[in-house]
Amino acid sequence: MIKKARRMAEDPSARSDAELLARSVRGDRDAFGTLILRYRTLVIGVAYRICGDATLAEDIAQETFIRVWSKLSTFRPRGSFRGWLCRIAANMTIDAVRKRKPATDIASTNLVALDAGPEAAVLRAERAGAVRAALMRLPLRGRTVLVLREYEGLSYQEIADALSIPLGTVKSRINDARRRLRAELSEYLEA
Amino acid sequence: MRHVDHLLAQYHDRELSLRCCWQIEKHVEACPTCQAELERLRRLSGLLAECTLPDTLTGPETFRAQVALRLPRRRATRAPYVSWTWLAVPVSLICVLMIAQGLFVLPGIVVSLAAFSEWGGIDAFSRSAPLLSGAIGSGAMLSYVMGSPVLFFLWIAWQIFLCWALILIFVPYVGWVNVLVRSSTRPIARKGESDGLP
Repeated sequence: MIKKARRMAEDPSARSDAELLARSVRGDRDAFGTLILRYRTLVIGVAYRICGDATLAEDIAQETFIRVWSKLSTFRPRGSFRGWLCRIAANMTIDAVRKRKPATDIASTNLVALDAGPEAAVLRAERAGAVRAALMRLPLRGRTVLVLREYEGLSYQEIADALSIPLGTVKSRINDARRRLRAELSEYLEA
Repeated sequence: MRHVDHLLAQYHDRELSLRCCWQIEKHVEACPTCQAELERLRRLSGLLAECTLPDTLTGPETFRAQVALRLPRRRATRAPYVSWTWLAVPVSLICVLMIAQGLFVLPGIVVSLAAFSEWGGIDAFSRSAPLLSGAIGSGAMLSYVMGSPVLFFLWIAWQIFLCWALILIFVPYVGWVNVLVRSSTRPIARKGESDGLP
């Protein structure tokens, strides 16, 4: 029992974000490595869905973690670490997209599992491709807000804080993005 | 019937108060138009969820290693190691000294002051001096001291002086404990040494 508890205490993946952050602030790279593993998908997800390019998204995610490492001492645990990460990732992606015209990564279509049958898999892949393309056609601002809401589950207030925009702007951008998507994806929504 | 379609997006995103949600639920149950609108929002969210991350992403461990290689080196800092166990030694020392001086040192000073005041012709001190000369116990001492503003002031001043004197001893002590404890633990990784990350 004691051995198990000790093993749990020594296991970095079992530690809370707050503890890992405190250790990272003190320069513990192991603890920061655990945070990277924990939030890798989140950061890549934000970047990928905003920029639409898997390779660029991974580069942005790496840059995000490097920036987080160098700014750890300025992090104040008023909001969540997750929200802070999303903020940095979203802002870095917006900068990257503005600097470089995005080449929509059409080639990286998902390899959908074939357990539901090949036809269903093809349909799902087609739908996913259509959603990705529709997302890419949204204005960058609306896309960023929608991604943070739909994929990362941030509240309106968290999004407003992350992007330094008023709450009302968040609401209007989400509504506008959804209206556009519904028009674009009507074929799939009504099917 | 007044539609609530302008609130449905916020309801769908769980951004409304419980009371407001309850009212919308009640309305949606009875209103086919709002029901259809809410259903469209849900279907859109479901459709968006199908846009998952590509399977061609770098593996988690490789990704971590790549980031680790690019992390700038930072001077590691550590939290103070001095625990309450270590602090208990000087704190208890301070307490013992304070009690000792309160019991044994101060009465002597007060008696001297009383004698001095008698010599100077001050009635307030001379009246109580004979009593003080025989009173070494802390209870009698305290009642006398508290009764005289001048002596009370002197007593406070003496306490403050003593505290500062002890702090001047205590601070270097904490510093030395830090040095001792840190020297017995694993040193901070220096340039060229492994940082733990691959």
